[in-house]
Amino acid sequence: MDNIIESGKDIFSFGTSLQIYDNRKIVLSCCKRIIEYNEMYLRTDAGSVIVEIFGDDLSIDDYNSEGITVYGKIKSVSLCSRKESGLK
Amino acid sequence: MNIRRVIYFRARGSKLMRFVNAVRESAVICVGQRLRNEEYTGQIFLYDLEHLKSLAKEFGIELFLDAKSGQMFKVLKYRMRYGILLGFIFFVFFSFYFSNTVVKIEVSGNNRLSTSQVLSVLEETGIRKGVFIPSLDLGKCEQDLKLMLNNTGWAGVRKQGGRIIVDIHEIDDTPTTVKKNMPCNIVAGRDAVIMSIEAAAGQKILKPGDSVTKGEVIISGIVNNTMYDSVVLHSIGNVRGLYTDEHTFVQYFVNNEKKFTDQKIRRYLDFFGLRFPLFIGNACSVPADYSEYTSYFSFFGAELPLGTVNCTYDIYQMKDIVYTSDEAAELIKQKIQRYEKNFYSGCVIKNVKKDKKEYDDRIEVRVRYTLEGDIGVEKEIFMK
Repeated sequence: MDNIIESGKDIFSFGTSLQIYDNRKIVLSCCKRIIEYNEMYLRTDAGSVIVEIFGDDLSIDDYNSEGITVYGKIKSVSLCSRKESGLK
Repeated sequence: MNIRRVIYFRARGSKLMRFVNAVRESAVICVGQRLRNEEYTGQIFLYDLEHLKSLAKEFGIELFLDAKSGQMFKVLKYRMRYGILLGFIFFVFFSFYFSNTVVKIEVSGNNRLSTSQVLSVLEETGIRKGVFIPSLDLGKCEQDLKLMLNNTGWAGVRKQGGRIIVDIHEIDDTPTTVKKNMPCNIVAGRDAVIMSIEAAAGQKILKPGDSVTKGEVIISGIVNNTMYDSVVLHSIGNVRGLYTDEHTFVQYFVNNEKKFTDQKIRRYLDFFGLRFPLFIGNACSVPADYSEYTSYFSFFGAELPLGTVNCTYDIYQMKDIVYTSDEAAELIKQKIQRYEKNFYSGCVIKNVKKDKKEYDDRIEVRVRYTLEGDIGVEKEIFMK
């Protein structure tokens, strides 16, 4: 069942995509919710994964398109599944 | 440079993350979002402000508006200034009007014809200042111009914005060619007594002292040579003769002439071909000789289609001017002098005989001249 769901997500592109531009900008295509946010840390719910971004002077642009654009001096990006993070 | 109206806001409260997510989930576009020191800042468009305020109220967030930016704020400051809008409308109207109205007419290529002659003909074809250009048929105007102007080989009329440019190519007069090979005699142009004959070619028929009548051959182009053959030549020579001429001069004692009494000057403002009077009342309601000239303003050397028209009215009255006998005689003397200067400048006046007659209303002087001048005229010999 999980395989069918994963295949379906791949076929219909239901997953999240991240575009990283140097260490200055990250475009997250799907952002359901911002879980935690301050100038050095951003944790977002991107649907199937949780995205954590570490850096300095982080700011967010939201163009009302389901995704967000993160600016700042990005140091690291970490992804973990919802199950691992314990979110429902 | 920002055109749309953007508001910089600052939010503070306990449910800040929920407020941030609520803003995300709503249809508000929010850029430059930062969260630091328990303060959430960002930028939104002005039309989303009310929505943001309602979200802030819902989550108990304190909202502060820090700044605003956008050129629309500056433009809307002047929205009550109707003069700006009126000025813009006038600008558009005048730009359209002067782009489609004849503002200036330039004539080039005319040497013998004066510019004023060409302009007066153009007026008859419909081209003059102030006329709506799209209503002109320039092709027809070109044809009319060629027909109405004499000695015009070609005429071109074109427009360039508000200018009408007229190019004229005049036909040069064919120079009189001397047909050196044309056989001719030299005949007397008038009745005279020959004073001298200088023949460079041809045979002298007459000699100095002979009297000739008009048309009589003096130097013949048909020359008989010693072999009893005749040769036909183009006669060349100069014949001077003594002849008489007569003219009668008349001067009346009472003349109905113009007597100029006053002069009036009236000015108009010429504004793109339209004339606006710069005076009050009638221009001139009495008989007067009229003349005008227009002087245009210039701006850094370029002539503007704006100027003043100076109209001069020389007011006159028709009066009977009475001359005494002496005055009339003096006037006749002046007439005689002018006549001699105009008509006898190329010959020598040998004798003048005047016959004066005085009547009740006039003096008549009959002048008989004896003149010495050129009397020879070339006359072609027609041959089969």
